[in-house]
Amino acid sequence: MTRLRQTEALLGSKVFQKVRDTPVLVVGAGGIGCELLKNLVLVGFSNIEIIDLDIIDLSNLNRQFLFRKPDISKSKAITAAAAARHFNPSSGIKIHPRHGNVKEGQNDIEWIKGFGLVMNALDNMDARRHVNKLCQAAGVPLIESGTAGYLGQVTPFWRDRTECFDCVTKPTPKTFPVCTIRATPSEPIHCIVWAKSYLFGKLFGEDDEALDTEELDKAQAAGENAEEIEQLKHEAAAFRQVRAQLGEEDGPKRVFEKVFHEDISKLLAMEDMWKVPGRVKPVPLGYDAIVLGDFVAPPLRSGPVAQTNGRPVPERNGESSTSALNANSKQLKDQRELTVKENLDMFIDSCRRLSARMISQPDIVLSFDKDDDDTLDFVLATANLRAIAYGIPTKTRFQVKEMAGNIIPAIATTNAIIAGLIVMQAINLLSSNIDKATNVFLRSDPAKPLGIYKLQPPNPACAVCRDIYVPFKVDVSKCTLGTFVDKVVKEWLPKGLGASNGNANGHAEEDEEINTEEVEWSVYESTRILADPDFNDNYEKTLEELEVVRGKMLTVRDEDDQFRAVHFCIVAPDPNATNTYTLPPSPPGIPRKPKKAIAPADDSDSSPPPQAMDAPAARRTGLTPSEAVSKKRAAGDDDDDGVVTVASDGQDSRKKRKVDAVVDMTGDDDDIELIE
Amino acid sequence: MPTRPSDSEVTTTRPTKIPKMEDSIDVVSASTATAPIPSYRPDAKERRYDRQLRLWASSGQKSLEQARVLLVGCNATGCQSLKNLVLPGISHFTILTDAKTTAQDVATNFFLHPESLGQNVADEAVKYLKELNPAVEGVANVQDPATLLKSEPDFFTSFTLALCCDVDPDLELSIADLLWQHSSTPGNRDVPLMSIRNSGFIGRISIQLREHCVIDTHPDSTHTLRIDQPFPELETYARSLDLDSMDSMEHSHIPYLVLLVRALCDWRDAHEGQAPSFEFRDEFKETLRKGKHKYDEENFDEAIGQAFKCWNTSEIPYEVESLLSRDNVKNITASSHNLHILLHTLGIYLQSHPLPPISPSLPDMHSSTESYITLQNMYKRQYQSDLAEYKSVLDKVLDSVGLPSGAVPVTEIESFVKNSGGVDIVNGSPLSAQRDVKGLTREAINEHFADPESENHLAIAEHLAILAAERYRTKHSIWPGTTSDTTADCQILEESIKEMSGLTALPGMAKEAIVEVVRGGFSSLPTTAAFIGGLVAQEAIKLVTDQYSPLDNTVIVDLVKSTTTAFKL
Ligand SMILES: [Zn+2]
Repeated sequence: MTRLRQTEALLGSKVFQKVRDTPVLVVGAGGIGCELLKNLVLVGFSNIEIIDLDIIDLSNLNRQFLFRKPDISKSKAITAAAAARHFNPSSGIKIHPRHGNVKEGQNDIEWIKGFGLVMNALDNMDARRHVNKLCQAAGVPLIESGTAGYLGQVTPFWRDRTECFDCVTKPTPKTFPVCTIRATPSEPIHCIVWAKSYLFGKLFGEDDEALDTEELDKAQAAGENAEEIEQLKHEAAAFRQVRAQLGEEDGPKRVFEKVFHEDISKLLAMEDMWKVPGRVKPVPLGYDAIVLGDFVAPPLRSGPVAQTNGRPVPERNGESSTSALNANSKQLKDQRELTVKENLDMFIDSCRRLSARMISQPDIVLSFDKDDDDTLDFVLATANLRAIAYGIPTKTRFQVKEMAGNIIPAIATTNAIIAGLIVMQAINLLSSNIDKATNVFLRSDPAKPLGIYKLQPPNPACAVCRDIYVPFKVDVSKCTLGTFVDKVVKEWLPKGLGASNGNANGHAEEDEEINTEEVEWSVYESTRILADPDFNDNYEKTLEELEVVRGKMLTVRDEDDQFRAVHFCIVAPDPNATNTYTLPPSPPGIPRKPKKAIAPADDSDSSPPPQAMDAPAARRTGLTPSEAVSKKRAAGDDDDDGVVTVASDGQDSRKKRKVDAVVDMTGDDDDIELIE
Repeated sequence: MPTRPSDSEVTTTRPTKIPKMEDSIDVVSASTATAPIPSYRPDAKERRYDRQLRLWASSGQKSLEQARVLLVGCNATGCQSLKNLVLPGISHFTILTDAKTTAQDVATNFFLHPESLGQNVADEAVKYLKELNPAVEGVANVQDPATLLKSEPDFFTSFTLALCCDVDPDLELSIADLLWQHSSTPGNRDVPLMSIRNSGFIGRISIQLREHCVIDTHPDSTHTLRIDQPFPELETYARSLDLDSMDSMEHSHIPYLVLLVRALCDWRDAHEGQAPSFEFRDEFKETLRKGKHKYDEENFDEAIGQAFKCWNTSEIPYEVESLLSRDNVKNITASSHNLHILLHTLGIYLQSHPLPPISPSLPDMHSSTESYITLQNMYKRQYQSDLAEYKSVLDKVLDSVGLPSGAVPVTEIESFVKNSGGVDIVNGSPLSAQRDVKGLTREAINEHFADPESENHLAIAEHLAILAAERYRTKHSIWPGTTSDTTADCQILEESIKEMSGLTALPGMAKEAIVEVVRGGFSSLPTTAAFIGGLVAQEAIKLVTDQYSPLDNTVIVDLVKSTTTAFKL
C-alpha cells in the first residue's frame, strides 16, 4: 500500500494497522455520511459497511458531494459506496452498502458486534437512540455527530468508559393539545400541524377510524372538553364521505365547503367553546366569494393592521432562520405572500393532483413529505386558508416548508469539518488511548471555532447504558414465553434479581438481603407488558406469536423498580443447538439502581414512564445568548445532517451541559414529528 | 405496574417512504387540473440550494453566485476547500499551477485518480471538481504562477477571492502584496487572500483583507427594546391599561415589556420624573411584585427578571459609535461603499435623535397572542416612522455627494436600519506584516510563547514552527521533514525560532510543536485536509456574502488535540 505510506508514517504503524483491519459501520449516507466515507477511504479504512434507507433528493446536492443529478431517487448508500470506490478501484478497500433501515430486526446485537467501531451520521433522534442502545448492549464504541447550519458536534460514546447518548436527558418534541389543533388554533404553527397531521391524513392518508377514535377518547380521558370531543368525532366521520368523492369534478370544492365552511360553522354554534378568554371566533370561508374576488378576510386577531389581502405578516422573532432572510424575502418565488385567491387555487389544484395520484397508485399511501411538491402545496394552501378563517397571519411557502418539514439549514462546510473531526476521534479510539478522545463542538465564533470538553463518565441513573444486556439465541417459532419465564427468568438469572455477584455500586450489603421470594418480576417487550406474577395469559404463546422476534428485546424488571433491568436481545438461533434457545455460559450480576434517580434518560423504549416524568423541563425564559442561538435552531432537524448541542465555552460542568442538552431539540425531518 | 404513557396530544407516526418526485417542477398532474403552473413554486436551483438559503438567504446566495475564486497551488486541502465552494454554487473557480500529479497527490486528494498521474494536476482536479455542480465554471491555468504574476498581474486582481494552498512563501507574499496594493487603491474592490499551510495534523489559515464590510454579523441579540425610553405610543398604551380591574386571564398575559414601561411611568410620576437608579432596584422590583394578583403570574416574574433594563440606559452601541468615527465614514464620496454611506447617514440622524431607529422585532415573551401582536404592531409602526425619517436624511446625503435618491437599494437600507447593531467593518493587516516578527506577532510571542502557562502557548509555538519552516523552505527550496535527516531539520527550526523570538532557550512545548510540524513534512493528511478545507470555505463564504464576522486574521489548527486557536497578528 505505497499510496498510504505518508498516512501510515503520521499515524504510526500500530494504529495504522488497526485502521486497516477494523471493520467499521457508518450509519447514514447523507451530508456527514458522504464526507465521512471519503475520509475513511482516504485514511485507509478497508472494511466499511454503510447503511441508509433514504434516496437522493435534489436538495441534497448542495452538500452531499458523492451524488450527481442523474442519481436523484437512487439509494444513498449504494450510490455513495460506488462513488467512493471509484476513487481508487484497485486499493482492496471493501465497502458494503446497504439500502435499508438500521432498525430492522436483522441488524441485531450480533450484527453490531461484528464492528470494531460505529459512526453515526444520522438525521433523527429515534435512529440515534436505537444505534446508541445497540452499541451499549454490544459494548462497541460509537461516535455520534450532528450539524445544524454553522454549528456541529462530535461525541464518542463507549460503554462503561464514557456516558452514552441517553445519559443526558433529551427534551421531547413539542406537541399540541388535540382541541387547539382541531378547533381553536391561535398561531400559524397550529394551522400547519392541522393541515399536515390531520387534514392531509384524513383525505389522502390511511383511513384509520379506530386510531382516530382512540386518540379522541384519550383526549377526553385527559380532561378535554367532552362536547368539543364529540363534535370532533362527528367531523371525522363526515370526512369519509367527502373523501369518497374526491376524484369527482367538484370534489375539491366539496372538501372546501366542508372543512372551511360547515365545520367552522358548527364549531361557532358551540357557544361555550368561545367563552374561554383569549379565544377568537373564526369566520367561515365562502368559496364563491373568494372566486369572485369579493371575499373580505376577517381581521387579524390583533385588529389594528388588518387588511384584506396581502396583509403584513407579524414575524415573531425566531420563526425564520435569519434576519437577513427577512430583509430580502422578496427575491425568491416561494418567499412571496399569497393572496386568499391564490391559496384557494393552490388548494384546488393540489387536491386534484393528489387525488389523481391516489387513484392511479392506490397501493401507495400518501404522506406529507416536504420535498414532494404536491403534498407541500396542499399543506401550505390549507394551513393558510385555515389561518385566514381564524384571523391568524399566513405564512409563505418557504416558511411553511421549514415549519412543517422541521428543516434546519445544512451546508457543505460544516459537514466537512465535522467529518474530519469524526475520523480524528475514530483514530483516538482505535489507538486504545481513550484519554485523547474528546467531545468537540464547532461554533460560529470566528475567534475560537472549536470547543472541546472531556468525556463524561456514565450517568449512574441512565436507563440505557447502565442496564444489563444478554444476547439470547432463540428459535422464536418454538420457544414460548412460559419457557422463557420458567427457564430463563426463574432459573438462569441470579437467585433474586438483587443477589448480584459484585459490581453493585456499593450496595452489596443490601443486595444480599434480597432473596427470590421478595423480588416480583415482570417481562416486557419495549413498553408492552407480556407477563408478571399475576398475569400468565401469554405463557403458551411462542415469542413469534407475541411478535418478539429478531432485533427485539425481552426486558425483565422487578416490580419495585429497585434493580437494573435485564434486556434479552433476540438474535438468530444457534444452528447446532438442541434446545430452543442458547444462553451465555454464566448469568450477569444485576446491580441495584441508585437510590435517587436523577434525570434519567427519557427512554420510552426501556424505562418505565414514571421515570420519564422526572425529566427537568426546559427553561423557558432568560436564555443566555448562546442558548438563544440554539433555540433558534431548535426548529428541527434536517434530513441528513442531524442536530447538535452547543456548548458555549467548552465548559465541562454537568450543569452547563444540562442546559445545552435542553436546547438540543431534535425533530426529524422524515418523521414529521412536530417541534417548535 | 408501568403503563403506556397516555396523553391527549397530537402525535404522528413515521410515514412509509414513498417514491419522491424527480427534479421537475410539473410532476404528476391530473387531467382535470386547469390552473397554470403556479408561480409560488421554487425552481430547480432554489430547490438545490434550499438548505443553505435558510442560512444566508437569497442575498447571500446572490453574492455567492457572483463570486470568482482563484486557487493557487493544488493540494488536497485546496481541492477540499474548492469542493465546499463549488457545491453551494460560486460562479467560477480557477486553479493555477504548473505542477504535475504525483503519487502522493493521488493518495491524498479525492479529486485525483490513478490515471491522473503525470498529468497537469490543475487540469485533472478541475475536471473532477466541475462534476460537483454543473452551474459552476471551472478553469485550469497551467502556467507558472511566478511568471504570470510578472506578466499579467491583472489576472490575480480579477477574482473575488484568492486562496493560496501550499504555495512557495515568497511567491505567496508577492501575490499578497499585489492584492494589498490593488485593494488599497481608492475605487477598487478588496480582493482578500487566504493563505493555507498544512503539515500532518497541524495547519494554519491566514487571511489578508484590507477592509471588509459585514452587512449582517447575525448577532445573538439585537433587541434594543428601549424600555427606559419608550416611544410615545408605547407609553400611552402602557398608561392606559387598567391593571386592577382586569380579569385574571388578561392580567397574567400582559407582556412583561408593557409591565415594565408602566411601572417606570408610575415610578417617574412619583419621583419627579426620575427613573429608578441602581440603588433603588429592590424597591422598584418590589413595586412590580406588589402588582401581582396571583403569586404565579409568569409575566410579572419575567418583568422582575428584566427590571435591570429600567436603570440601564439605552445608548448608541459602542461598536456603532466607533464605526461612525471612522474617516471613511465621516467623509464619503460617490464611490464610497454603501455601508459607509449608510453609517454616515446614521451619524447625521443621531444628531437629532438620541438613539438609532428602533428595531421592529420583539423577542418571545410570556403573553397572549393578542397582546403580543398588539405590542409588535406598535414597534412596527415606530420602526416605519423611524425608517421614513432615516430615508429622508439619506436622500439628502446622497444628493450631497451627487448620487440619485435610489442609489442604495431599499432592501439594503431596510436591512441596515433594522439591524444597525449587526454591521461591522473589519480592517485586516497585510500578509507581509503577519509574517514579520514585529508588532502583534512580537506581542503574541511575549504574551503566549514566553509563558508556557498561557493557554495559547502551544498554538503560538506551532505558528512559529510554521514560520521557521517557511524560512527554511525559502532557503533550501524544500520543506523540512522531507529530507532524510528530520532531526537536523528540527534543529534548524529550533535555531530559527530562537532567533525570531529572541529567547535563548526554547520554552515549554516549543520542541513538541517543531517535531509535530516537521513530522508532517507539509503534506496533507486526508482528515486534516477535510477539516481545514471546511474552515477555509466557511471563511470564504463569510467574505463573499458579507455576512458573519470573518476570522481576523490567523487560526492555528491542531488536530492532535482537536483545537483551533485564533490570533490577530
Ligand atoms: Zn447512558
